[in-house]
Amino acid sequence: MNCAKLCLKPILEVKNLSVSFNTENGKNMAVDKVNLKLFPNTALGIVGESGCGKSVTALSIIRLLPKPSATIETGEILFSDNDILKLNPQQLCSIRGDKISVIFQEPMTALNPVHKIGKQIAEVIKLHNKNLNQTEIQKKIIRLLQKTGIPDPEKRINEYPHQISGGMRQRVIIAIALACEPSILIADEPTTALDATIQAQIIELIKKIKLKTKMSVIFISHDLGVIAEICDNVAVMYAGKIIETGNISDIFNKPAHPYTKGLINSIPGLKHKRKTILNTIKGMVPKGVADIKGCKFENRCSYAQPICKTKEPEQILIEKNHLVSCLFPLKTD
Amino acid sequence: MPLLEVKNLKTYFPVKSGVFGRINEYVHAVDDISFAIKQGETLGLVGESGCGKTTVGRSIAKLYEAASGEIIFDGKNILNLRGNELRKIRRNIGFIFQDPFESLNPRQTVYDILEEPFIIHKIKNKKERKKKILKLIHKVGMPQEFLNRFPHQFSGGQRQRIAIARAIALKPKFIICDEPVSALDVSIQSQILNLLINLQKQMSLTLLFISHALAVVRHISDYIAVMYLGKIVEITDSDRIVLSCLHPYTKALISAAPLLTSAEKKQRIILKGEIPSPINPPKGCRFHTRCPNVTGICKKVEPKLKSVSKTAKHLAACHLIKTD
Repeated sequence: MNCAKLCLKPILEVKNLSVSFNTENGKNMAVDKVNLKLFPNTALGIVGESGCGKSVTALSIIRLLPKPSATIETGEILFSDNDILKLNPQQLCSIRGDKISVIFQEPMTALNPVHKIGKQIAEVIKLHNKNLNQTEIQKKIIRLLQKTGIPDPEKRINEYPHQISGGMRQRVIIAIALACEPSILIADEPTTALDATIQAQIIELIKKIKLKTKMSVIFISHDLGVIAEICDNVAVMYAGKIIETGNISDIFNKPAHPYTKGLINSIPGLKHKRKTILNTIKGMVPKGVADIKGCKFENRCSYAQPICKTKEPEQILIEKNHLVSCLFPLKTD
Repeated sequence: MPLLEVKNLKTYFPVKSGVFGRINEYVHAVDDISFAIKQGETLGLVGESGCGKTTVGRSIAKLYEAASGEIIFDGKNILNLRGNELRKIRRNIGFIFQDPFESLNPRQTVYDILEEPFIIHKIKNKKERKKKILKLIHKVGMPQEFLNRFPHQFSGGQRQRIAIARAIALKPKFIICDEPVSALDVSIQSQILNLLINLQKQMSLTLLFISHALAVVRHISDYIAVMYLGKIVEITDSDRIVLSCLHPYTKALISAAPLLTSAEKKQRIILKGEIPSPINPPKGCRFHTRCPNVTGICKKVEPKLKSVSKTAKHLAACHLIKTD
């Protein structure tokens, strides 16, 4: 299955993307020479802890970065034979919501509190389908709400966001994102703010939609468990860099980067005996990461060698579809 | 005798509405909860939003006022205590909050924050306080130099260490941990969990660990109580909850936590609908509106928490579970 995907052309390709932010302490490289490939009808997970650059990477794809603080320093984002970073505002508008959609983390702040739900869904349909009349739009909205499992859709379209629950709001956001049948859906921590049983409902919904529509998904999360449920491939980020990519099984069962391994091992699960000390990654992300010449993870790595302080690791292919940025990748057999 | 025994605890919050702010309804946040924790043990309290777990913690610490019931700590019902007597008991109950960015006074240095419990409980000698503070900061794995800094100069994980140092300052017997690692990154979470596990061993602490993260709770707890809409629906030891729980809500909760199930992707239990409002909880069994096994009696009669095992300590509140 994976070999076939390797031969396919990616539907989206991020090449050498670097994004910086202007802060009081100078320039901060939030995303540092990131390369990503999204293949058709697959889900790519981007996983990492806070500040690793995963959300900024996703926002860069549809150019929703805050101005003027964020600057795209270098890179190309190839989609449909175009570089998204070179498109003019009109061309960008025709892609956003239509070809590439986004679901954000906070369902409350993503919906306009003073507009009814029906109106907010209609907005995106009208924007990209100028020839539909009112009845057709209404029908489409009802169908969308049914597709995303919202009960009583005819009633819901006349309600305001505050009248429905968090899980329901997230379904509305998903409905808006799917309204124009995009080829790519970017989901940025869409279940983090939801309760466990509601999260399970939303995960099942996203899986079902992915199966039915053949859409490609970029799923961003700090939760490895959720990524494992939804994604086919995953990219692990640390301090603005992608340090490992591969399919789910390789990353979880044979992690090659000490950070990935540390992350997986530090999550409590059934394999840990209760009340025993968990394996942790010592220390924290260092300040002034940009000034570090060698590997950004070196100060926390239990396998670090002296050369890791001075030489920046390049990406190497350790097995089919499995890449790692480490001078001494862990033996995986 | 257990160190803490909670009996029929009820905590309600009034809901003011209308132009005159009249109280028409109450949020039944905690609605008749009973449990006990033995010295040295950890009870985990899990549940989703609105289940009442945070209110339980805060009611025990008397940060919220209970409507009725008993909270017997070290043989005394703390709901009847006032003034000096209450202050004496409070030395033995520590509290760690969820948000490390809000639970520390931003205008106090770490030294001031850690000195406060000693001042309140009348450790008069300044030199003695300093000695204790130096020991404390070391105990939570931070260097002495940090004592002169302010909370905003630290990361979430470091602030949580400071909060833990404050909670253990007076060497309490019991600590209530309200989602202490939920706001932290995974790699920092494990550091803080390890710190709590070590401190518990060293100081023979008894813990009430409140969290929505089942995997974390299972790791640190001896027993787990599952809450739903103000009630305990199941309570048993941690491994038993994960491997052989009986209540349909617990089953759905366990199945919703991906890393707790086995490596093969099992069929998920997806509950229909949303969590009802705690202002007007459903009649009968509060879970009946979402339960896949609902029957007639579930809609009318509230099930009592009863023993469901002859061999292990295992209680569940469900009409359909038979004792084994």
